[in-house]
Amino acid sequence: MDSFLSYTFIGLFTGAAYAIAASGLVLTYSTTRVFNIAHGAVGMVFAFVYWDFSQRQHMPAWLALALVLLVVAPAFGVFVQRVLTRGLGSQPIGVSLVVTVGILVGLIGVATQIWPPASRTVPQFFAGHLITLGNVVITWHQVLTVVLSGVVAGCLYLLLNRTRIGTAMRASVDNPDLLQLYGGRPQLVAALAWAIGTSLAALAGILLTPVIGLQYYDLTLLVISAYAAAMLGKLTSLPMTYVGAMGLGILQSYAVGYLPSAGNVAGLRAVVPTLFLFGIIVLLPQAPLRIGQVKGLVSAPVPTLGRASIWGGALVLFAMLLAVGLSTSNLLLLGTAATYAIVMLSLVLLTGYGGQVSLAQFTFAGVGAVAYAKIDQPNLFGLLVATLVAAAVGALVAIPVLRLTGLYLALATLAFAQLMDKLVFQASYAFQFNNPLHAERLSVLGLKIDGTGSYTVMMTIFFVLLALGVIAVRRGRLGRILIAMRDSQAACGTLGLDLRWLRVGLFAASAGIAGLAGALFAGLRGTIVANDFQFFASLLVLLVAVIWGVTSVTGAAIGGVFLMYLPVAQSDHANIAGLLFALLGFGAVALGRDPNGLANKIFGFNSWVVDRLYPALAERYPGMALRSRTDEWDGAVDGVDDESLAASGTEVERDVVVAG
Amino acid sequence: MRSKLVGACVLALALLVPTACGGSEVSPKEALAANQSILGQGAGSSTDTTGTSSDSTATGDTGTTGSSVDAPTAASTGGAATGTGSTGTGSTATGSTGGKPKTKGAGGAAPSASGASCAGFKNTTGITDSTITIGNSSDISGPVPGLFSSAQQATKAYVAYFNSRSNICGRKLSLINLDSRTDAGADQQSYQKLCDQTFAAVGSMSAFDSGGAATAQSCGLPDVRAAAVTAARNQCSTCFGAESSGDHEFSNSVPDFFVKNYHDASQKAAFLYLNAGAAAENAKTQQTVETQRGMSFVYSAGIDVAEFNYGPYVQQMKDKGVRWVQFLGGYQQAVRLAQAMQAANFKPDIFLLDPTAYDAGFVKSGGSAVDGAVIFIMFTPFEQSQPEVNLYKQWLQQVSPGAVPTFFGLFAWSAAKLFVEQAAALGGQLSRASLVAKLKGVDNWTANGLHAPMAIGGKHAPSCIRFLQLKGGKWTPLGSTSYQCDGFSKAG
Repeated sequence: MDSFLSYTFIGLFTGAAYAIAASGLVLTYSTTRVFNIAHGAVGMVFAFVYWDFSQRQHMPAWLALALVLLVVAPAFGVFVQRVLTRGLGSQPIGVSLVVTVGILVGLIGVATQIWPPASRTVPQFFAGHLITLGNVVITWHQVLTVVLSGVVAGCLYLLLNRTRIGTAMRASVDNPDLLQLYGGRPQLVAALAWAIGTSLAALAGILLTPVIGLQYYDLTLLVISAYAAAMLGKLTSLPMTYVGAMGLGILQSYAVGYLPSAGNVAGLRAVVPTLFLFGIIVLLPQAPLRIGQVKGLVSAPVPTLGRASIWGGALVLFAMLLAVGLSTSNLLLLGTAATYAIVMLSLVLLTGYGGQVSLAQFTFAGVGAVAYAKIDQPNLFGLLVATLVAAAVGALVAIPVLRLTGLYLALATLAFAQLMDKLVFQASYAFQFNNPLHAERLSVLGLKIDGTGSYTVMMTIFFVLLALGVIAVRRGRLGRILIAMRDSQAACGTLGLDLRWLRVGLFAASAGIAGLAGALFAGLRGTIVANDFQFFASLLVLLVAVIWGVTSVTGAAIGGVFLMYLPVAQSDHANIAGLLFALLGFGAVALGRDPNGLANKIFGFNSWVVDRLYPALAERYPGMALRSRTDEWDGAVDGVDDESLAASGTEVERDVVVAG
Repeated sequence: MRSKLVGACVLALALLVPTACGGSEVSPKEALAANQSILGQGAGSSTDTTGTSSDSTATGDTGTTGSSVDAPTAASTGGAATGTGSTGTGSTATGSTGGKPKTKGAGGAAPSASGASCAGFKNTTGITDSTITIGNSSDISGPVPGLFSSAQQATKAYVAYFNSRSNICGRKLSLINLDSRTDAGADQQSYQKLCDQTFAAVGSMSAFDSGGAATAQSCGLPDVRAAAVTAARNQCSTCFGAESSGDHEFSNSVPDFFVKNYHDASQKAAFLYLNAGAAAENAKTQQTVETQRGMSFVYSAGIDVAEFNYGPYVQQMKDKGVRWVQFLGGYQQAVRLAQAMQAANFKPDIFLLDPTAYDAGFVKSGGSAVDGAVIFIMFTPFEQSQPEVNLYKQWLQQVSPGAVPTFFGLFAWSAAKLFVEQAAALGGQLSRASLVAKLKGVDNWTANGLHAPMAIGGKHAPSCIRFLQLKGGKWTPLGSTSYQCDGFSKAG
């Protein structure tokens, strides 16, 4: 019985930490409809700030705590709401996810830059004081955490349900315009919600730091477990969130206490929060689709197959030149870039065209790599099998989450990626922790592609072929359906389109492409390890894909090179490595609202030169033989969709009639 | 494909290097005899390697003239050390006895330019008339910035030290530093570059060192590492760790010490490990060997990297009456476990960690919770004055002022010293292939007393171990200050 009580109280402490973190998450989501993936990173940064105040600057703990929780964190929360996430709630979920993942990455970079790695400690509150109840021993710090979690939950409940500002908060999420018409101030309400939410993230970070240490990633990712608690309350109910957090904490504690520590079941203990999250997402009723308004994205220009083939051929030729001129070590980098580019191509199909967000693309690449290595058929047949295995896994993921959309779907893929990391990739039939798997380079029709240069060229050819396939899909009927699905699933449903199996097929195709990338990568490297395919890499891929354009194959190609070069640049400029990471993150924040990304700007450059620069020059220097494109081609641009030319912005609103 | 998140902590752990890894069982007597023969010691069951090092293949290589380095200086200046062996027989070592031509005991003496003949010396990849270019690829950037920068600093320090005093057949050393970025792919890329540009890789240390193993082997690059973390690297035929390791091997000395001196506690043992990277695999090896040597485990569990509350594990140990706890993981997680034990008022007789806890960060961040923690080590602690340790610390400050000596740095220094000695001994016969062949014959390497004898060529787990205990924030010897050499066993 003593043990049971001990496990229970230990679980309550874990749950209390989750509860505080999840409460802030729910508050910001329920008032601004922005799911802040960076909530843990915010807690991490303010734990560093608290350390800086209390340990480095030797402020009294209470003063440091007050400064962080009442001044710095709320101010930062207001800044984030006003500058970084304003209006994000009405954007497609992919946009808000990318922006908040960008904040997460950016904050890790900022913390690394400001507080370089070193041993730092934050003492527990009331350190050394224990409470003994029979055989159960607990610390005052644990008691404080549990009590504060209850206080936070109670105060938030009262705020939202018993105060005028709380009512305004709840109203703002339903319809901020209506709230404004009634004299409310939605922006003020949103700012207040972010201020409180950020303070709660900071509080969770400060309370957890003495237990888990002051590190960049641990605190940041810990909060993912709190997502499960928040989802139990469907991101709106604070009482259910609290129950979920406590339940999860206790469940984890009991799992350690009562599940066998050896054998196949032992691995389950590590994935309790992930299973909890996955189960809740799949089993609980979903939020209704938002209707009445469709925000469609204007896609980047889609070239004709002929024009794309020419560019693809040029890319292959360029790769061949590089293969001749570059050293083997640099060719390995080029091959890595090709791998990233192919994975991003899978996102073009899934996210850029289909509007589905996946946070598990590298996991699918890992599946393809493992399959390729295991079947030991280094030829096109082996590559095909690896691709099909990855596609099948993608379909398996899609089937249970068929009815999920938006955020729920994204979190389901995140949970899937974590499960694969912890259960499958570490299993004896895969990598078994960090043992490398060996893979041979590919033979094509009996011809062994052994040299690194020729293998890299072959990877480029695969990229080009896949890109042509993706473009062909986009230009066909299927592509139009995908775009319609991206713009509004509700509208598609109203028009009689059954998208369920299309989504399964889309996931499978996307996973297959990523799996093929993984298989090619395995051949390039010769040996692969589980660490090559951890789920965090999927977040970075999504970020970079959006920065460079997740709606075009050009964005994928440039993004692949960029993602390959980022760690090289960090290594070459170690003193600003954190800054580079921050730039990536906040670059995604700046560009995240335009999924067409920088690639689209490149596409627009020619138009700008011809339509703006040439006329201006012609006017100033009448003697120059400059004509605008309009004059020359009479408004027709070969090979580019009309819709892309029509776009003056990145987003158009279309009124549609959707039956309620 | 670099990861990393989690990685961060995971990685640090992945580096729980080589306390376990491959080979056949060697009896304690064999190991002891081997050690003693090298040390020139007589009877006694403990071995103090201070001031000694050896090259088992070196016999016969001496007597030639030329410009090899660190040739045997018979009269060792190594610090005298006294110790009490595990069986209580004391021994006093004053460096090598000089009985064997190639046994080195140069202590802190500068490398000398005598040794093998330089006749017939041929320039090859990485070697010109004036320089021998070597490379170091260690984890510098990545999720844990500066993870193994100490290995690179130590290599740089040794190169500076060497160049200030000597040369190899008239050639100074030139060092190329690369970053393996805590990523197997980057390790592979680095080694491809080293294959093309350098004669050998020296003192490298990477968490995911499997990446460059095949690359190094395929180009025949001698890779004298600080340590090999993964089995794949250890299996690479041209790769050698200064801290040697063998697949699924672990030192007998660790369990033997506790079975003998803490018998009751050793029968109520628990093994906790971080369920990631090399830690998980090594933990199973270590626990198996410890069980084979007479310990009894009542609890064993892997802890996920994402878990932050270790309370339930501590409660399990309390329930099972555990008195001896071993943890394998990064020191950050060890601190977390120690704090959870302190919070639960759980005080085992022994809380054992591996050498990764020999870090100022562990002491600082652990505070009172880690007081009393025990670590097993196979090197001379920095608190001890020993010529080669002093040399390492002195030259580290020369090239990287303010840098802190570390366990990994110590073995990188040892790797650099090993490279120089073997290359110099080859003289005019120096080539990648001849160096690899020479390294394969090196056993019982101590880098002039810097660490316990290492089976470089044989690639086996260290036989000799000693223990430190943290008391009042200071590491102090637990048991003898000499190494206890009981051989190693293979798990399974």
